[in-house]
Parts: sequence; C-alpha cells; structure tokens
Amino acid sequence: MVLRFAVVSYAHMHAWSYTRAIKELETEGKATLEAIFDNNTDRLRRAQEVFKPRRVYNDFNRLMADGGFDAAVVASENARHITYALPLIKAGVHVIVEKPITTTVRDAVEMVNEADRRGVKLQVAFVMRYHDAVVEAKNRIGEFGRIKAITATNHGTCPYDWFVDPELAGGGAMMDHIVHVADLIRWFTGKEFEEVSAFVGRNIRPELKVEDNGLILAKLTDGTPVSIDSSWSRHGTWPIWGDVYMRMLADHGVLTINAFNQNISLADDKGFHWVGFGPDADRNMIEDFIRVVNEGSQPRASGLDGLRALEVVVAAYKSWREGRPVKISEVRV
Amino acid sequence: MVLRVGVLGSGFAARELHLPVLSSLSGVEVSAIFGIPYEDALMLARRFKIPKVTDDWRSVVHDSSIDVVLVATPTYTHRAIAEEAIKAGKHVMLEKPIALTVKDGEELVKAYEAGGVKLMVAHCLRFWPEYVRARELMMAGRVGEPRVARAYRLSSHPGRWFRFQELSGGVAVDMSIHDLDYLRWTLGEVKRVYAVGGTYSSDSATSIDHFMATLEFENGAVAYVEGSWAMPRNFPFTTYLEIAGTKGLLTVDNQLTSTIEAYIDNSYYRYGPIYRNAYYLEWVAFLDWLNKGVKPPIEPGDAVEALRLALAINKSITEGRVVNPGEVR
Repeated sequence: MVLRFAVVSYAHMHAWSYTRAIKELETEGKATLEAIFDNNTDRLRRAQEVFKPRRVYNDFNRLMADGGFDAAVVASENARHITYALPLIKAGVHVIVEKPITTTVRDAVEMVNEADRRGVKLQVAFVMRYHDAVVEAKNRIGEFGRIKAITATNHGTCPYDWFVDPELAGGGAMMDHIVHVADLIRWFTGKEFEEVSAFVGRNIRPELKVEDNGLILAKLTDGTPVSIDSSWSRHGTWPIWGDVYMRMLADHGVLTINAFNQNISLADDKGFHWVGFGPDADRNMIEDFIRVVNEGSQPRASGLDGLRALEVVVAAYKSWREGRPVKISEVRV
Repeated sequence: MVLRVGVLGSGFAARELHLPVLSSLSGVEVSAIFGIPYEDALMLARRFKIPKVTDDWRSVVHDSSIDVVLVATPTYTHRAIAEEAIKAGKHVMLEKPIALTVKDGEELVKAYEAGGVKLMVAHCLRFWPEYVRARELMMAGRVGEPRVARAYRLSSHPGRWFRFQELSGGVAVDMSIHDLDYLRWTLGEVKRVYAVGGTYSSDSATSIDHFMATLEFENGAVAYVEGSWAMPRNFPFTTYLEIAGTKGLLTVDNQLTSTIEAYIDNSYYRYGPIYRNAYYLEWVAFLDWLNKGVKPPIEPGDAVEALRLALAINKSITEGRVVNPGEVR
C-alpha cells in the first residue's frame, strides 16, 4: 500500500531530510506527501516551496480534523512531541517521532502505552540504526564474542534555536546527544543501562541557559562499562557538524565505528569543510518504516527503545544535580 | 665536565627510551648498568659500550665515581632504590610513576628536599612536541578558557610484572598517569573523580587493565580520560588529546599524524619519528638543571599529585562512587 504521510513540524532540521526521503519514495510509488503542518508560518512556507505537499496547515487541529493520511513524522521541538504524537496515535495514525521520544519519562510511557492500546506503529527516529557502518558492525559484532566495554561519542556544534531553550528542548547537549549512542549501546549489547554518572563542565558557551557538554559513564546490567561524550564541543569552524563514534572492546578484538568519516575535504572562501559522501540513513529509515506499517511488523527502534534511551538521559541529569551515580530504577516510572 | 651515569634497569624503558638518548648526548657517559636477569644488562652493556655491568643495584648506587642514576626498574622498586640513591648523594632521573603509593612518593620528595641532590620524574608528556605545542596554543588563548577535554592512551598488554595491580598499580597508575599529569599541568587541580573499569585482558592477573574516567577540575573544566592495556596484540599504540574551550577546539591524534608508512612482507609500520623526542628533551632539561641550575618543567611534587589522581581512579572503580583526590593518602 502507498503510505500517505503527514509531516508535523519542521522545528527539527531532520524533518527536511525525512521529507526529502518521502518525496523520493513518492516517485517510486511507495509513499505520498499528503500534508505538512508547522505552527511557524515562515518555516511552513519554506517547506511548502521545496516539497509541494498536497495540503498545508498552520493549525494542528485542522490537520487532525481533515485527516486523510496513514502515517506522520513528528519533528517538532522535543517538549512538544507528546502534544502532536498523542492525538495522532489516538486517531490511529502510525507515528515516527524524532529523538528524544519526549523530555519526560512519564510522557514517553504514555505515548508507548497509547500506541500499544491503539495498535499503531510508534517508531523513534534512531536513524543511526540505519547507517550502513552501524548495520555492518551490528552484523559483524557476533564474530568478536561478548562486548566487554564501549567508548562512544556524539559530538556536535551548538544547534542554537529552540535546542538551547530549557522549556522546549528539555535540556541541552545531554538531552540532544545522549540518546543516539545510548540506543546503539543497547542495540549492540542487548543489555539495559543499570547506573549512570554525568560530569558536566562550565559551559563552552557561557551565554547559554542549557548545558552544552556532558561526560557520561555508565554500567550496563551485566556490569559492562560504557562512556558517552554528548558535548556540543565542535566549534563553528570545525570542518563537520560532529561525529558518531563507538569503540567496542570484545573478547576477540576491538571494533570501531566512525560513522561520519566519509568526507571530501574542501577549502573555499567560506573556510575549510568536510563534505560527506556517506550512506543515506534517513531514506533507509523511512523506507523501513513503510515496510513495518505495511507488514505489521515491529519497528527496528520502537517507542519502548525511545523510552529506555530517555531514561538514561533523565538519570544523567539527576546524577549531575546530585553529584553521584544514579540507578535507572530511580528514574523509571 | 662529563657526568657519569649509572643506569638501573635493563627493560623496555632503559633499552628503548633512555640508553639511545644517553649514548647520543654529549656531556654524559654511561659508566655502569644494573639489570636482572644479568644477561639482559650484559647485552645492553655490549650494545651501548658500558664498562661496568652488575646484578647488584647497590653497587651502582654507592659507586663514588657515579654522579647520576637513572632508575628505570619496575615501579614496585622505585621507592627503595630512589631513596637510597638520593641518600647516597646521587642525582636521580626516575621513570614514572614516582611510586605505587602517595606515601612512598611523599617520602621520596622528603628525601629529595633534605638532600643536596636533584630528582626529576620522567613525565615525558611535558616534553612530547605535540603535547607541548597543544599546551602553548592553550596558554596563548587560542581555544579560550578550556572546558571539556578528552585523552586516550590505548595499548596491547605489556605482560610481565604489569599483570599485577600490586606491582604496577594497573593501567591508570602506569600509563594514564601521563595524561593525568598533563591535564593537571594544563587545567589545574582536580576536585572530583569518577571511573568505571576492571580487568578485561587474559594477560592480566590482578591489574585493572581498562578504565574510563571523568574528572572535574577546580576551574570548572571536565575531562574524559581512558586508558587500556586490553587492546588486541595488533592494535597500534594510540594516543589522543582533545581540548574544547570557549573560543576553539584542538585535537591531536597520533594515528593521523604519522610521517612514515611502510609495508614489508607481512608487516606494516606507520609512525611519526621526531629525533629530538621527549626522551631526548627530558634528559636535556635534567642536564640543564644539573649543569646550569635551570629548573625543568616538572617538580617531584607534581609526580606525587599525578599518582594521587591515578589512585583516585582506582579507588573510584573499586568503591563505585565519586572520589575526591584528597581522600587518597
């Protein structure tokens, strides 16, 4: 079946590449871009010009009243994921929600439960699970035996905009950047997080109202130690936006993923850049989501996966506030 | 005047790091070497043309013709040998770590302060060109105020006495002490330490051979430090430093800065030689102190503080909690 999509909000820049993927799949007869919504008229107009959807809304209630779509991409500000996703789920619409799933454990649980009750697919956009290097590593890691320790980074430049608004983002670098690699750590090991510690330094950018760095150390349920550097520590002139890096120490060796290392070096009058030529994980993810809906199978990264990754983030904030390692059981609802 | 050096130790540090430098420097001559087993010392004596060879370290320490001793013996012997050498009136170049416990380190500093001789602990990162240049960039304000640091030091297992925590102190005390000393030199004193890790390599008996640590400094900066002896046999020795500050970011990775790449039969080499390397520069600094009174960029007390940080990491791993380095005595 040709899946009819609505894209709900372009607040998160990933909405642009997800919509681009939907449009590509439209030409292949797998999807249609039925409607887009944004409460920001400027963003809405820009997206409308680029993607030319069938319908355009700046009123979410109107979008819901008109309906006529099977699935929705929710890429609003973090704190508003639940605002949009919950009514969509209740209306029987399959939802792919940008990460983090929500900003509170309670909201995430509500979304997951509601999707279960209505029998709709809820997928979290852990797009790294669709990156070829990650998939390759996932397929090969079995040869390495048991994973004994993991070092991970998800560095970035500062995204500014609502990402540095404590209310809308629900936090700073830790809320933005822990979940991708926390999710990959769960996916690779098949283990849950047990205890989380966060050390947060004085801000690299003192003017921000949210933290722009965070060094996480954690233990998994079997004691495996892991580290995550979630810092927005890449300066504006750094040649690339950031990185996703994982080094896994296992019984029979070490496997390292440096997912955004496929770049062309380019120097021009704007500076020095790395221009990526890596795989199209966004498209892989949207295509797989369509398959999941059509086949009625389980999403590669479900709402529950989103909830578990969010618990790591919430434990990290509690650890930072209280200056001690925090058990996941202390933040679980 | 030529300074006469007695070398104590015939292992990796003496053979690969110090003797090649000492044999190339003017103003010093190596006049004696101690080593166990004796044949190791004998081999080095032949190779570096050292007249006296012994398996009795005291005969070197109390040799009145010797001015300087290099202590490059296993860590668990540092306190006893270095203290006796200082008390015998020898200037001492002591391989890191200064000792296995803060108390032993402090006793060595006391002996140094009481005597009329000079003691330098060979914390070579204070001399490696990339680390010195990175620090110069920071001191010149090129990254603004430092906020978030990362430092790796990853290796396959050195085996031998390093297998035992009680003999080597594990990878934090033996190897990551380099990064800990450098970060303290560069970012200042540390308030809090939390670490996870354990014994992962089958080459270890009791050593903590892989750890990940976070440090919070008095100035509000934080650092991630990782050290490992649990890497596979064919894993290249890897060091990495990154400093993010209010105005910029610097990174240096020894795997990306090689200047020689060679494929020969089934082997593969990649490295970046610098002949005036840290081992050369630290001896030049020590000799400048002895001959001209110019102090080197490391005091014996710094070596004790670096050890305290490494032991705080071990304590945090063992007790599963955040540790204040001041708790380590």
